[in-house]
Amino acid sequence: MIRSTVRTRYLVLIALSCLVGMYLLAPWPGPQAVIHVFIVLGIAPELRKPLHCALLAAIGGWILEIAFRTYTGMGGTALGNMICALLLWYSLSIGPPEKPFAYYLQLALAAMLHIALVYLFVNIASGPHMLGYEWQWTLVLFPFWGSVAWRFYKPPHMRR
Amino acid sequence: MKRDGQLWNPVWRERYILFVLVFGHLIWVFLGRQAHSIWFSAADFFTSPVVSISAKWENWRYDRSQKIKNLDAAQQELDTLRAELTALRLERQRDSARLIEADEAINLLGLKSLLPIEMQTARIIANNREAKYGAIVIDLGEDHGIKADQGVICAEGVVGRIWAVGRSQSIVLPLDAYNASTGVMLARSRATGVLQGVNPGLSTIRYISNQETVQLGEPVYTSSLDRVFPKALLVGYVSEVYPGSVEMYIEVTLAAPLDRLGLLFVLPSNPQLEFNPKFELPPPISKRDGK
Repeated sequence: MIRSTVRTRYLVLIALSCLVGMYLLAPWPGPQAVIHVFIVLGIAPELRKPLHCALLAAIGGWILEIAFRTYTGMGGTALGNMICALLLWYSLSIGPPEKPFAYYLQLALAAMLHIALVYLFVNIASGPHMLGYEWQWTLVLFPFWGSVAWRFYKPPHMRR
Repeated sequence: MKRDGQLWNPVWRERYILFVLVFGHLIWVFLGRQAHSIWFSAADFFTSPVVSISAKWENWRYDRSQKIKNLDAAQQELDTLRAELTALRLERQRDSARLIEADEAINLLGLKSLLPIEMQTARIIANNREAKYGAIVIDLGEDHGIKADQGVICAEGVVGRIWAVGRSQSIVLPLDAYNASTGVMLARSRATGVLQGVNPGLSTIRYISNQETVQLGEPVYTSSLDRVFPKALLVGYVSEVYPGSVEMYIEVTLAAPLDRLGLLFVLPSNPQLEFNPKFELPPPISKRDGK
């Protein structure tokens, strides 16, 4: 119980740092997208409760859109974030991957779904939009942020 | 103590919140675009006090900065004006001598237009008349046709006569010199006498009988009896008068400012001694007009 609380606090601290970093990275949308997807798919599903997971994902989405300051209607990114984060959280909770490959596979599928869903909801919320190049940053740097997420994810048999 | 129900316990409450969160976003995303105007107007309404306060604050800062800028600009303008004023004062000091000379020239021109004789204009080179037997030196001499005993006048009155002549310069004996004698007459009585110098700026009239009536402030003119000056040029004004043992003592303050002279007129050698000004008789006043 104590270990869990410490881990949660640790995750929250990392999440807060990432949120601040994401806001400050507004002039560089590519790295900002990587931090964003790491918060949504790397940190949020690691939180124990789905409500916390959805909240963190939603906050990440809102901060990203506020940092952009270009959307005519906001909220699409937060909705896509929540759905993807909750799906991954559910996927990880019903069948926790025991090997890195399975985790990476789920994470990659979730990342692609995240790209598609966020693009869809942003188009719905703020009208027709171009798909930027941020998704390329996300996929190209997947080995980097995925391995960091794997370090945060603790399979049951690996937890001490 | 109230027990939590089957659908109202911490787990379900979290689920409700999660549901509200997700579906709230769904509704927001799908219907939010239509409601944007409402949201924006609501946001405008709630932010209007802050906006107005910040606008006032910004206006105050802008006004303050403008005032400071205006003050700086005014200070710079003031400095510029001060510098210009100093330059103008210096220029005026430099030009003052020329201005005085120009004024004198204007006066002399006026005098020249009044006197129907040919006169030469002379500039004073030195003025040491304060010294005993001192004199005024002018820049005209023999080369300019100047001879001794030519009269010298200025716009205000008679100055003196040529005493000694050099090639390019001459010495003028002023009226107030001890050895100067000039034929004069009083304006009212027409009594004639000889003006002799006493002190700088002061002369006396000799040979006027005690029988004459002389008033203080009475003008004194040239009489042309010395054949140097034409008749009726202003010499000065009677400043003191009292009867003497043999003749009346009449002190005259000279009209010409002998200390401040710059330009002079030199009269010809044998000037026309009397002018015939064209007097125009005033129109007769009839009884009808004079009523």
